[in-house]
Amino acid sequence: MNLFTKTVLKFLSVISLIGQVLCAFAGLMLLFASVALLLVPNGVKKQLLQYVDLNSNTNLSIWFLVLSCLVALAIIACLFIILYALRKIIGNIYEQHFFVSRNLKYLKLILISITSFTVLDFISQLLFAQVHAYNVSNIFSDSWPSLIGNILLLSIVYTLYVVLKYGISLQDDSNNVI
Amino acid sequence: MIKINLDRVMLERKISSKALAEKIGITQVNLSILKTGKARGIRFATLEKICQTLNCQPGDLLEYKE
Repeated sequence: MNLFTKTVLKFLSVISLIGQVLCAFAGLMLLFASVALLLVPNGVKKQLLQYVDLNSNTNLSIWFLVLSCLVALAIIACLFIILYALRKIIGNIYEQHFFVSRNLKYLKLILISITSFTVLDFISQLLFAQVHAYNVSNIFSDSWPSLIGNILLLSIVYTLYVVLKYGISLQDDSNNVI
Repeated sequence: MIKINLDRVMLERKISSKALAEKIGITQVNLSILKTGKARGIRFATLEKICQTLNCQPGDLLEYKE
């Protein structure tokens, strides 16, 4: 492995670690905000929602907000898991462990997380469409092109999964030839 | 099926697994896999080294059985 590849892998590992920290922070903040919305009196809640700017739609029911927060939390958890698995795969590749079952396990985790992310993104899209609130978040952009992008990403990762699975069986064959 | 007669040839040459593994440059675990017939294949390079060390022919080590 040359120096350029090693540097790129190290850079990607650091980026995914930073992403993980940001996701954890965002998740904690979201949890704090949703608990706060449940606890504060109605007047203060309306005032808080004005800051959120859901297209000035402040007459949202508390259960709608809690459900949206839960979906958002699940989306952030999916992103966190994707970044975690990605960092682990990068670490394995850095140590030149290419066709190992651990990589297949992490890729499977990424596949499941992207599927969950896509489904949750779709649910959040439906939820916000109900109250005519659009472009609420920059992370899950609530648009049809993003959904198509997710499906494309899913198919790419699935193809990678199939290739890696075949690669592992070839590696196993090679390891058993003495 | 292909039967490996490595055990018999080693006994005839009075050589231990450890010594043979060291001479042909493979681990004792891999040699044991080879001896027990659990290996899926053998490289020509390994076969050549074994024949060289044990002073035998590939046919002495491998046998076809129905």
